[in-house]
Amino acid sequence: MGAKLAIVFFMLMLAMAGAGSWYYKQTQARIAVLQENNAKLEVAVDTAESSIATLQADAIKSAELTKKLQNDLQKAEQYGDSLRNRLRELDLVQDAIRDSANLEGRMNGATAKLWRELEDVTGGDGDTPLPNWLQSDSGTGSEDSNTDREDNSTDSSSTKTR
Amino acid sequence: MKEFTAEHGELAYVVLSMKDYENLALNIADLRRFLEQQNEIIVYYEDALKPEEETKSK
Repeated sequence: MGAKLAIVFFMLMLAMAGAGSWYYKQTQARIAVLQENNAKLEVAVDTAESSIATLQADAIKSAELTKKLQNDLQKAEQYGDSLRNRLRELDLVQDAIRDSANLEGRMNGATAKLWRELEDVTGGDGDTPLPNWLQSDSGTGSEDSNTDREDNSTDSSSTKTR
Repeated sequence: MKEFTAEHGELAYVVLSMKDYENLALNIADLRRFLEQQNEIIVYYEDALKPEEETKSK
């Protein structure tokens, strides 16, 4: 009877040892899989965080650039607005009747200045010499100096002749 | 006038009313605005597409 019990207990112990071994192996395999998944998740989190940082930096840069563009676009409208206001204030017909030579000088000066600014805007250097027939005292909108005129004359009266 | 004909040959006059002159000036101003705005838009896209390091070093 004792030997039988011993055999049964031995068999039970063997079975429990087998079950324990199987459970241990299963657990170790599961831990390995979980560790692998954890590493993958850490990499995924790192990637997501760096993506978020990049997106945030891009959003900031984009906002700055858009703000700058809006300012620049508004700045480009200043010339037209000021010209519109100026034309509203002036009565060119009356100016022409009052002092046509002065108006001519102002118109020619403003036109010459505008063409040079257009040259500048379209990639040129905008420093084409002023024509020698342009009046030197052309008033509003004229070039400030006549140093880059075609004739390079120092006699200012010669530039006023027509 | 002599100077002009000596330089350009025949002399011809083109007459504009003041209103037309003002319209011409405003249209040219509009053209200039358009050119400036196009330049700014090009600069915007150049800056936006520039790599980050190049932008920082500017």
